[in-house]
Amino acid sequence: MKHVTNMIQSYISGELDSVRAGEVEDHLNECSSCRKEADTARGMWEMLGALDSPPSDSGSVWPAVQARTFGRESSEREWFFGAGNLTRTGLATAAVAAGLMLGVLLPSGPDQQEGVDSGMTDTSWLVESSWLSESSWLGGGGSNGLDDILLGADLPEEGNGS
Amino acid sequence: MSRMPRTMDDDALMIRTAEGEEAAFRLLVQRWERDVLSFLIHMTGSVEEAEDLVQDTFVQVFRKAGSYQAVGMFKSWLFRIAGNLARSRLRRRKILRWVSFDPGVHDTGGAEPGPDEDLETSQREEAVRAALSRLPGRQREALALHRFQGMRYKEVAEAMNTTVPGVESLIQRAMAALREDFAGKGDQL
Repeated sequence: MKHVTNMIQSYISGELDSVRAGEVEDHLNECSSCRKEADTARGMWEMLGALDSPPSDSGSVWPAVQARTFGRESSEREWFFGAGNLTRTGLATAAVAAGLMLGVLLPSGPDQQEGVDSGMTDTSWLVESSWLSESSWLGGGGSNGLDDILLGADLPEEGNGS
Repeated sequence: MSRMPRTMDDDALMIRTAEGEEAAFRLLVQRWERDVLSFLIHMTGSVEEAEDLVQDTFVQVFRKAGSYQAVGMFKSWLFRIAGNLARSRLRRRKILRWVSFDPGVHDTGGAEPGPDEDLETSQREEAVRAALSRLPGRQREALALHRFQGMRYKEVAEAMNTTVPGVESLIQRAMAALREDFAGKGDQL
């Protein structure tokens, strides 16, 4: 029988069917050259098998993967809508207050003033909104300076109809 | 979040993932992440890069879940994605050979060598890793999938988009190259 050099690796890997594996075994019993080859290959194979991957101290990748897949939409929804009513109200109030503060800090100009006066703006609902304009927590009554604050804001001209 | 039976097979989990079930996807990630990490460490030689690529692999799995054919070949499909990403990363680095491990650089977390026996084992493993690093990428990939992931030639062929004889040839050549590499090292190993 001819040498089985080209089948030795598959034999060691357990990839040969029983018939071919039997043929290789028979040959190895008779051929010292192929047996030596097989012993060397088996040694290397076992050495590789003993090679562990370097340990990684990191935990599961799930939090990072989740953030890049499901987390993207759910985190955007859940941080607000997943919160309790009280928290949501607080968040909404904080957002409005931040907007108002921004309005105070940004300079106003005649053109912007004109824009606000001439029609509905993106923030006009705030002035008309009863829960806000009637609140006293801003330090006054219905005409508590809120209008002034809003009218003095650096408002965008788009949507004002002028 | 609904609970997934841990025994649910990969195909069923992929179908549910495609339907948007987060719990199914989470179970898949947790089931396979260690194997994928191990494979990618062997491919890139860097724990840090491998960890990045594990994330990328599962993000790709999620994005492609809708086109996954549930025919019982999830592992091959998963490792094909991981292998493609690893090769792409290596190309980007313009390094076509595996960077050999250096615990000082890669911080693999290996323990301090203690007794002589440990030192010997450690040196031997280092030498094997270095020899692996010198293999051409395809040979290394085939060997890593077969030897370290326990994949059959057929699965490796699926993962590498080649044939079974092709895999057989890659592994044969890889093993021959490793033996040759060690031939001059005498009793060091």
